[in-house]
Amino acid sequence: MSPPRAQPVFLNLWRIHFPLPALLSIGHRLAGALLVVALWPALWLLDRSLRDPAGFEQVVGLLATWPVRLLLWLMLWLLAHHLLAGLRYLLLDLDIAVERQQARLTAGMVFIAGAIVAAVAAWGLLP
Amino acid sequence: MSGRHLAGLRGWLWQRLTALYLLVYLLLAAVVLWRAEIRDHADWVALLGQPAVSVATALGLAAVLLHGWIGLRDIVIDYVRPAPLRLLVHGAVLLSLLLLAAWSGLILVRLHA
Repeated sequence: MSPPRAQPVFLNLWRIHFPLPALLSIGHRLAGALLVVALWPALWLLDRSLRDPAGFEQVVGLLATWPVRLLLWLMLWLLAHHLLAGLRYLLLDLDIAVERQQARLTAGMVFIAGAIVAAVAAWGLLP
Repeated sequence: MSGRHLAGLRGWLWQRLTALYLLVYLLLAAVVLWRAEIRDHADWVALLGQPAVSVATALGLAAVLLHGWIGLRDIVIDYVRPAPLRLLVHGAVLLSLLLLAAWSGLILVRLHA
């Protein structure tokens, strides 16, 4: 009987090699959770801007400052990433691109497309 | 299929229905905001006060909160291990989403008051 192969067992998250679809899944969840948190400041901005003319001007002023724009840009990136990754899951539901090679390819495409949206948004949002 | 399984399937379906609604709403909102000329508070209130926009936005807020609840519930089920702690986190998430729902309702009601 041959001795069992000495397989490396990595339970350390920093040493586990994640395939691209796994990273996409983690990113999708992380982005989703952060977007829910972002609903608080988003609702505050909506509330304030609708309340009265002074509130509207306050929100317009806030949206012109660079820290707010940076956060807004980050949220748009997260949203684009979450949305595109979600569309990929809908395609997987329809049995489209389920094979490993294709699944890895579409995962890569989502990362790249999200980054492209972020780049375009940066063009419009950041000074 | 047991009731528990059915509950999981229902969540799965609602997650996708709300996602599709949000996709359409966000695309339409982007187009409307792009084309509208919002110079002041009155313009902004007039835009959001249109019945169609108000209803679509109310549905959008409801959809995002439901979508968020299902997603966060899945995350909590996967990562929060001890059952009592999980229950506590579920409760905290649900409470915060209900507060957001109440606030959303208040904003839209005040808009039409």
